[in-house]
Amino acid sequence: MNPGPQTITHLFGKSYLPVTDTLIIGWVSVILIIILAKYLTSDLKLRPEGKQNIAELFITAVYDQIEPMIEGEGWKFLPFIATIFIYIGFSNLIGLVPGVPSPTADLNTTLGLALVVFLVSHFEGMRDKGIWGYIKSFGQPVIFLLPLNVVGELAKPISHSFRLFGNIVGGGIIITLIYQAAPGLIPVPLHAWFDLFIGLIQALIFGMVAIAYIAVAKQ
Amino acid sequence: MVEINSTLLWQVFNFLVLLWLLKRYLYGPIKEILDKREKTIKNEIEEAEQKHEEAMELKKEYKAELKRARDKSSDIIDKAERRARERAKEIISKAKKQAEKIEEDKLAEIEQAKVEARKEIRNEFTDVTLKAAAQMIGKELDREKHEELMAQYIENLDEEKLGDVQ
Repeated sequence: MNPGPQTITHLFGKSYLPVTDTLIIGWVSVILIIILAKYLTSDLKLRPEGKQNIAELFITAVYDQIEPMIEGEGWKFLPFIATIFIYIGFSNLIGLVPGVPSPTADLNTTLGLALVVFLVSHFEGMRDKGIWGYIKSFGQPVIFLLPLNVVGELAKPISHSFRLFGNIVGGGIIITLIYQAAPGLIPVPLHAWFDLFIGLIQALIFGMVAIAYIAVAKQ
Repeated sequence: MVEINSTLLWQVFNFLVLLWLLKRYLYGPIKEILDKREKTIKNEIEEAEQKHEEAMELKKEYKAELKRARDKSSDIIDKAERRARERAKEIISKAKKQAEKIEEDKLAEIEQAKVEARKEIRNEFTDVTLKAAAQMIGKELDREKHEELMAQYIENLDEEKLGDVQ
């Protein structure tokens, strides 16, 4: 049993360019998400109906999460945060399909996203306070806390990515074990718990933490 | 099981592509329709407020107009009443004048009749006295002279005794 990402092939035959199953599922996820988005927004009306309501509800719900934390810039950060919600949520849920690994069960995915959030939050901090002003803010409230603050900042993407990765991989491992020990109906509620519930909660947490990191950097 | 490789960059690339595509196909259109709806609702509310204001103004105008009309009608009635009163006064005064005139005419007529009657009486009296005198003295007096005498006599009578009869 190897619950980690499996290398399917190598791009251009180079050993340093492996194509893993999680990456392929990631591509499939992107395509499916785009098809779904196109479908949801195919016939937008001033008076929303059916699928348009779902799209609007989702967008405004994400906006309502961002706006109180980053005041006045809800719409600016909405694409970034909503894409995190969508991509991670979809990646977690796709693990419900038997035999399909979640892209988020690969540390490469979660760390990649966490690094993007890391870069965005620092970039926004610097844009708001100026580069020197932002660097100086690490020496607050007293200068000898600078190393602690820097370590804290560096720990952010690690904790951010490992939280998601650990949850999804842990769930996957437990379910695999249960499948081996007691196949049949017993894994079904566990699937619901680990893939549906934990999957959505972790997507929400990842997105909320991203908002919080950006908001903190901008303060 | 945990290995960091080029998949990390691929996933970042996936994420950025997805971000770009969703911006184009999901967030953009949704934001647009939300803004459009907000604008429409705002416009409609503003329009409704404006219409309400207009209606209130019209109501005020109509009220003023109604008041004006009422004032005017009462004015007209007042004027008509005044005119009627004046006309009635005029008619009455005219009638009075007419009555006075009739009275005057009648008085003049009476006066005239009186004068004529007196003249007639005087003539008759002259005749009678003439005849009586002629019979008494047996001769006829000269009429002209006699008339003069009679007139003098009557004149005296008028002044002394018959003053009331006039």
